[in-house]
Amino acid sequence: MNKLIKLMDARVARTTRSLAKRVSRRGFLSRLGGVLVGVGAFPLLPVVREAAAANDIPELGDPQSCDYWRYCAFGGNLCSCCGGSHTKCPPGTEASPVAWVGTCRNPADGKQYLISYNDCCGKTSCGRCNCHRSEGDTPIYAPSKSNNILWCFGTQSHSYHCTVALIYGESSQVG
Amino acid sequence: MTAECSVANIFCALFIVLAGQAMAEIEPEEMGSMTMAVPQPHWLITISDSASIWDGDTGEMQGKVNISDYTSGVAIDRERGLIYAPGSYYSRGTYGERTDVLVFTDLETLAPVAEVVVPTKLAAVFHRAVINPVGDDFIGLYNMTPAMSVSIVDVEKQLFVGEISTAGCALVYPAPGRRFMQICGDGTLQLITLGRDGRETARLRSEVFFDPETDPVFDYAVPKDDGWILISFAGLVYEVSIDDEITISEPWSLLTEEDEEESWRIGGHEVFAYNSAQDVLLTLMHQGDEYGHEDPGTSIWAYDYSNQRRGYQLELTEPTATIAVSADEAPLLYVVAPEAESLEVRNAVTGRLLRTIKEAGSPYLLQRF
Repeated sequence: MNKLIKLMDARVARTTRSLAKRVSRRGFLSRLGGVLVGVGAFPLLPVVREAAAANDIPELGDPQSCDYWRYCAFGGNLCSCCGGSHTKCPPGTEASPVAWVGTCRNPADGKQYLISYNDCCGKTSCGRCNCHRSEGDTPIYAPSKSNNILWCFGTQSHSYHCTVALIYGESSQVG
Repeated sequence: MTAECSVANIFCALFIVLAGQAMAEIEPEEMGSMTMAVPQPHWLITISDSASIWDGDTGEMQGKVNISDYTSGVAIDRERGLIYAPGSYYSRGTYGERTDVLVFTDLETLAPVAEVVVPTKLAAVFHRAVINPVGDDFIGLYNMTPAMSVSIVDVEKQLFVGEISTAGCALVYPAPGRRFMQICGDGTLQLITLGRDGRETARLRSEVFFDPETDPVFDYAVPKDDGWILISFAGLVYEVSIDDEITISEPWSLLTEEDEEESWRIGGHEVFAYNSAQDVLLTLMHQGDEYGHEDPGTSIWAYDYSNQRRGYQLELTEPTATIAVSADEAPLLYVVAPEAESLEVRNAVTGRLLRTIKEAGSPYLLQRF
């Protein structure tokens, strides 16, 4: 099975069937951030230090639902439906250290947060909970915001399985 | 001999004799494999799990080319009678040692006949322009690690020439001569020239002509004469001409004020197509919000390109993200119907449905011959 096809099935809304899975997104509309973030460089990034201290962020919503607030710029299969969680890869898969980034509004505290979307890699596509919210998605030549890319970089295998959504820190962007 | 035969040996012997007589009367058929006919202008390749070749005139499938799980484009070399397919392979299926190759497939037998190993950097992006010819003897392969570069393969000598760094610029669009064009994240185009040995000899950049933040162009482009047509998310059409430099026309809009008020937008994956013989531009349109550039089209709009005038508007039986048009003087329009897993073949000039190819899968990518 072509893994790029599977990825595209997960990432984009091509049919009315997949369009129906899209959520009422206006309430959560946010612009994607524009940086490539390396998890390997985590300790060096100011936003990461901020995130590490911000572990008491109030939560609201269902991480197995496409309209969960962190998924405002998500494209792919939710790892929370695949044996993982919204922050952890399923067993036997490896998190890509490179990701695309979004800025999402947390309805529980009204603040904007930087969200990193990391692909989990090394197994065939999970195939469950396809979610597609293309706000701010850009073409391939502007890759940091593009969901037409398989973001399994720096992993032992670039076979796509699912995607997680990690809080990186509070955004200075006005909500 | 079976248990039944051991019980009634006389019947068994009779059966064998009769069977022998029957075989003697009918000449056994011989097995074998077909070879491909000469490619026709209305042939089309659909890319999904494999690359399937279809004849738009008959609706008949012609054959399949094996591709890897990570292949989203192939290049056709009619002169050498080859199809080139980049691919990434793991020794254990989804894991193990990775090998990236450019596979040469014979266009007559559809059998792989050669391969060139390239750096394990092939971009896993869903786009046909990850591979294209550069001049007569070279193939350019788009890499992303996520650093952006292009690997050059000499198809005449069947060897990897080298890698060209293309920071900030993506994909490989052929340009006249031994050159290729790229679209860059700063709103420009880049043109790279190769020497006879396949090494870079020159590169130049266009002026900034679009704003990647406010109205980016689609990364999908279609060829026109000695250049390319690009269209922005908001529906602005740019014509790119390539000679000694890159010239970009003043844009015109696909949409009238009334269209914009009704929230018509261009969207999909392979969202437009152009036939130069009939000067017809075809676009996939839908009504939606400003982030609908990937949403499938519900209509196809045809334009008299040079006069910037709209012709027919065709409402589709189901939304689609992918269309293509043949390159000849009597062009066919191909429309993927993803839910029905069929391929509609239409007259590109009138939009009239000619035939529907069933069980064609639901490919995102179409490539004309």
